[in-house]
Amino acid sequence: MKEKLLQVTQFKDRLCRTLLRVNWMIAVAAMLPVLFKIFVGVAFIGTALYLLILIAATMITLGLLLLNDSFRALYRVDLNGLQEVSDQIVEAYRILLPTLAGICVALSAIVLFVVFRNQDEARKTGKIVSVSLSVLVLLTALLLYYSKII
Amino acid sequence: MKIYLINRADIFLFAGDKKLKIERENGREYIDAPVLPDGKIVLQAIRKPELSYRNWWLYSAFFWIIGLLGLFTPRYSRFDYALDCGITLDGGQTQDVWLRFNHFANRKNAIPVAAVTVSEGTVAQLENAVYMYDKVSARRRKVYKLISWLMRIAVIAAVCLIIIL
Repeated sequence: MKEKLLQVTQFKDRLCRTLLRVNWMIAVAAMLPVLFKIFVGVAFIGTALYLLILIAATMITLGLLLLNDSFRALYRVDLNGLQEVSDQIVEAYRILLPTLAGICVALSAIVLFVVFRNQDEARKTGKIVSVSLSVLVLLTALLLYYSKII
Repeated sequence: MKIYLINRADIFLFAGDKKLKIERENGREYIDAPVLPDGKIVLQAIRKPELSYRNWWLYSAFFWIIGLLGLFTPRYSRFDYALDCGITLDGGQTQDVWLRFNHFANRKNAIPVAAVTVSEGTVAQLENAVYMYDKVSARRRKVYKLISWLMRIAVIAAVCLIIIL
């Protein structure tokens, strides 16, 4: 009897913890288009800084470095490849995002159901907070994606 | 009667066949232990490794699958010790009663370390308050780890083969 009770308790706890981890993975995966767009933005800023440094180097040498073909080639920076990859990821998420959202919501519902049904759960608050945060992250990703901000 | 629990971790408390609910107050855990008609409180502190049950393979296979090749499944505790301690307390005590749990088992030394201790001045009787090494659970944990890795390699190899073909 006690052994059965113990096993059930341990099973519920492990189930909640596993599903929470999977939930967080899905929430982070849903944020991928946003993160990639941020990365592309950072790459653009980085390129601007890189060009500034090149210009500064050119000015310091009074333009003499421009006589060198290899140095002139450094001015050619192409970020189109990165932009294309970013657009492909955003396009792929058109189908992927609703699926991820559905799975996340289903897993969150299971975790909350198990937590609220298990009246003698000691660490309830932590699990509820974790589920809520992961759903919030997912909703943020959905909002940013479908409002065409990214 | 309120009994505070310190460093409980994964130990469960029973009063008879009933598992006691763990409450929290100001960051401390406690149980509301029932007092028997004779004025005594009889508790049982039990710790049982998850892989010590008969159907452990089904349990671990289930979580390996839902944890996506076991990558998102919480690790099974490396502390392969079981506890089944009987605690008898006097229900008429006026001071705060607390039970402190220890998660250390001294294998090298012949002198066993008490897994459960009570607060100073508490009238209590502890039976079997030491951890017992669970060899079966330890072996199963290693078997699980080995099979888990082999299965991951097999699944990845299968997926690569499918992609290539």
